Amino acid sequence: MNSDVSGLYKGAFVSSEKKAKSDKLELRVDIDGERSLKVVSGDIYSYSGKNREYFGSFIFEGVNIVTEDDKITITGTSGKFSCAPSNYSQIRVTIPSSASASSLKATVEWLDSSGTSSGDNPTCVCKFKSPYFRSVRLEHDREEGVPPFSDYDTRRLPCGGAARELNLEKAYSEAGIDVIKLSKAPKPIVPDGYGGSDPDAKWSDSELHAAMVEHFSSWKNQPGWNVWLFSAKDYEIPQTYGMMFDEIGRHRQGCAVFYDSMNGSGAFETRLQLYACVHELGHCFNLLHSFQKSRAIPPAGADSSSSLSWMNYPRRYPSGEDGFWEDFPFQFTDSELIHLRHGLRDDVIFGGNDFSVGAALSGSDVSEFDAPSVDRSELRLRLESVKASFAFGEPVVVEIKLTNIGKTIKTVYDGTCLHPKMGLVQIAIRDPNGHIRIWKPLFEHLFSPRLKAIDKEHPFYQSAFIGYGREGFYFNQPGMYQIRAQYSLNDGVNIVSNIQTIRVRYPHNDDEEEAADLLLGQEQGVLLYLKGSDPPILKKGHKALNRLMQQYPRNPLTVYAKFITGFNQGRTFKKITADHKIIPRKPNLKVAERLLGSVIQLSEEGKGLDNISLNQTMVRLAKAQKSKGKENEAKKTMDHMMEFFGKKKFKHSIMETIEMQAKQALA
Amino acid sequence: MIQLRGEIQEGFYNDTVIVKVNGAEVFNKGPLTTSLLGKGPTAFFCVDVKKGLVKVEVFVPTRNLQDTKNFLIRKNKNLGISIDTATDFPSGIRFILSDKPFLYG
Repeated sequence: MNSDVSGLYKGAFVSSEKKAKSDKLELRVDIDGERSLKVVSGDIYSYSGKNREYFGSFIFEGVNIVTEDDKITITGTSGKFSCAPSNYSQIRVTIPSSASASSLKATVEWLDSSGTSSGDNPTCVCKFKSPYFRSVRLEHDREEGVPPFSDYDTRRLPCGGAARELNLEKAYSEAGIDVIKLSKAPKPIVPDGYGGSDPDAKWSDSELHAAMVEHFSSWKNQPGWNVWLFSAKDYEIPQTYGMMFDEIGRHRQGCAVFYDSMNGSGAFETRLQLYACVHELGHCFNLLHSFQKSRAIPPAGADSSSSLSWMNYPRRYPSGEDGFWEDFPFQFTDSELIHLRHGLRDDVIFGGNDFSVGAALSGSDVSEFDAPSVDRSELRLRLESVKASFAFGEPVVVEIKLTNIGKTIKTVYDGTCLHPKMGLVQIAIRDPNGHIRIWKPLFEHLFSPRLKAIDKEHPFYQSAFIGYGREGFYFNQPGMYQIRAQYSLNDGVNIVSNIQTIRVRYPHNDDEEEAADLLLGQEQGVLLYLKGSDPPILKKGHKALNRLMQQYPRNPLTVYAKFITGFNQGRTFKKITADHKIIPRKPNLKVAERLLGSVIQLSEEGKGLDNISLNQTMVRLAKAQKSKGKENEAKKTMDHMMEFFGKKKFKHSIMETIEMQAKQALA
Repeated sequence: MIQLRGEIQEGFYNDTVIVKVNGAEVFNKGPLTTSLLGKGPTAFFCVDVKKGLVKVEVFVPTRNLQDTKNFLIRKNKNLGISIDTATDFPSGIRFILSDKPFLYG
């Protein structure tokens, strides 16, 4: 590993809470060095005397990194947690940039959802321990008569990567995993009862498991970072070069490779022997075949036969086995690296979750959305959910942010182009069943994008409702979703966002379910998409929204019915008559004030809309008031908006935008 | 006569697979599910064929997939049949003809 600060850090929490004093953190910082992933992750352990108990894990992908003269500040705003976080959902890690490796320390602070520190937040100072993210101990035994495998020199046959000598440990070392062999040479095991004394005896899964329990000196039926690799002669099912056989009790603690299917010392055989060992150990780490990722629980993305990965079958590669080896750089994919280095502990640790449960954390997985290995755009695309979780039926809104992280001003498409309905940003949505869909707008927008300068201080923002589109509702079942955006920049470069996880909660009772159903009709979807509309064809939708407001006035979803109806009633709506005349329907201020006023009140109490939608509501109400000649009321609405958002302590650039919106509404 | 060994390989999940060789049904099984751990082929069949052009038709009614390929075979061969939705295989069914036995793991 070659990096300045990336690697494993360890430390203890300091907090005002007594209990937390015995909590220790293993922190993984992955921001520089080869194949850095811009990820911060960690495992938390509780100590009671000498007893150590695993508490939970977290991972923040797509972290923001700010490098100054004396320190590096890493901020993660959207994390995945193995257990529900308390009040702290963001993380900030500060590392002095001038320290030597031996004296490197990372200060970890947990922040609340607004990114602020309240003073008594849990903090932890961690010392640098290793340039590797994880360390595992490997015991390698072999059946008598099976020769030890030798290193493979990648120059011996055409390949797609750098020339180097590789063995099992080096292959994992390149992935950031330190594989420590418990013995220098594999111990020969004389088959005695496991494979039988007959030299032709073939191994079965149960025999292999029994051999592991007998011979693996570190074996325990519990999670641990010890794993057993067994080089045997042959498996009971022909043509099998290797097997992760351990599906009894605690899974994934042992694997085997079968020499008879790849014996020899030639280049082809040595290459296959290396591949088999790395591949089977990959299964122990809970990695699935590249072409079976969708069968993980939950699905780990789309299946791909074109992955240049240790976990693919060479013959599955589109141009065949020879084509695979000619292109293969002898490495894992980025998604697999995220899993190996940063996956939640129980998804990765040997003896943790059953095989295929939690296999491969990252679901970039829509191959065209995979992040380029080298991104020189110096532009960062962030996708954030406006809420940590959504009620069943609740409209899903995301915030899309483009930031210039470079030192120079750049010219890009203006901020309006960030909205996915404009077609330049595409959003991939993976539902709880693993099906991936690309969000499509209800209507195609034909437009000429304008260019605008973007500097470091003024990022571009857009808020987008992605709950409904051309293919209907995209979040119409409870469960975990993953979304990722891709933006086609004006210079032809594609950049991708972080992967954002969205949870849709289960309804608690029949009333919640029925209220959700009243919002999930197709007409209601169109009304949500358009923020209300008048055409009679949507009458059924209006009827459902009215019923939602009347029948379930206290249901949290009702605020959206009020928002749609009030927003629409607050604007002029043009209607084309049968004789092709345009008749404007005037705003109904009385209804708009009543409904939008309620939306504003509920949202300010934290029971309604996100900030961007609330901002739109306030501006719409002020415009409706002004259009009816109620200048004073409109000014009061805008003054209230400035005061409310002013208290939120937003960045100066955001407040500038809100102030401009207020002026335009009153102009 | 020479032998054609057909192996039902990857991509199957509770699927029924029907294979006809030169018009005769030689394989009809289901539900078939590919192992996640590569424990050999999902299923296999062996059929004797005459040297020359061999027509292989594969039907996966559970996915509404089917494809037909003609192979010129002059010696014993292994034929891998899998479901692959990559664009290179528009029918969704992929055939791999090989002299060597296929390996799994």
